[in-house]
Amino acid sequence: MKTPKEILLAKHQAAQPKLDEVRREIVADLARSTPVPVIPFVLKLWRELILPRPRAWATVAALWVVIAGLKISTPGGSHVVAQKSLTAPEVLAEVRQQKRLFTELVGVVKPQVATPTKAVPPQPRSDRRARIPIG
Amino acid sequence: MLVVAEREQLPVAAARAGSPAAWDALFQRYQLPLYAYVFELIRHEQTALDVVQETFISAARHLASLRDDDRFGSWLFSIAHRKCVDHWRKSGREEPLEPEIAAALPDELSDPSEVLIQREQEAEFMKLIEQLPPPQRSVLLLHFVEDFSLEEIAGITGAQLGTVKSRMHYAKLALRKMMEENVR
Repeated sequence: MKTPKEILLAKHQAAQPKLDEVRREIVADLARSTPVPVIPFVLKLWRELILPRPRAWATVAALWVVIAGLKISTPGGSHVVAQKSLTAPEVLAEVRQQKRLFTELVGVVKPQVATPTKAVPPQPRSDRRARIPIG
Repeated sequence: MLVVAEREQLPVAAARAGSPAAWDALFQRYQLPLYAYVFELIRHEQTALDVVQETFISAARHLASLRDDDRFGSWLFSIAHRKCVDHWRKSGREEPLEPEIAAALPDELSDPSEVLIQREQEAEFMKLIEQLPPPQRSVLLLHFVEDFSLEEIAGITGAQLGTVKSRMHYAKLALRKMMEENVR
């Protein structure tokens, strides 16, 4: 005794090799046409650059964290620099004052006073010609 | 006692993800029942093989349109059925699977596995299948080959549920008659 399904499938069993061939061809085509998954650029970068050297990147990251922490912990750091640059002429004056005091104390080097150049009175044109060397 | 048929686990999700191995398993599972169904409708070996091939290619292209993975089998047979109808249309034959007017019939449907055919009746059974009008043949084959429910058969053939019940009723009457005559 057989079920109708068993009878039907047994009748067409001879077609099995041809069906296998059809199936293999289609599956082979499917395997060829299956698109290679496109890895996003960021993921590719992560895999090729970050993953092979985890320690190095962890150190760099830690350094940046320390730098960022320091920057946050010093409020108005950039303002201080700006203020200092604004008072630069005062600092220079102070430095000059200190230098003067030092030279006075040591007494080795006298402060040089610039002597004004002697004013030469204008001479007649004929005199100037006489000075021109000839020969 | 209520018996719930356990659905077989098919790698439909993997096939949707593009796994060739999953497609191979699915095609291997359905190739022979599908061919048997198509051949019994078309009655031409090479055409039946072509229809099976086209059905598989179409399934691979349009799997995204399948919403319920559990219905993969009936979805695959519906593709094959449409291709058979297309074949008839192209060959210029009269549409053999046109809808019939549904008759008011009882909707009892015995389990296909409950129908047992004796060895000496096998040839008669196949002869009966061949002699049935294509609409009834289609319904009976789908019921026997894959144990599809009436609703699934209606979905596959694109016919109304009442029409499917009517076709099934007449097909089973013919089958019963054959078996009774053999007993005598």
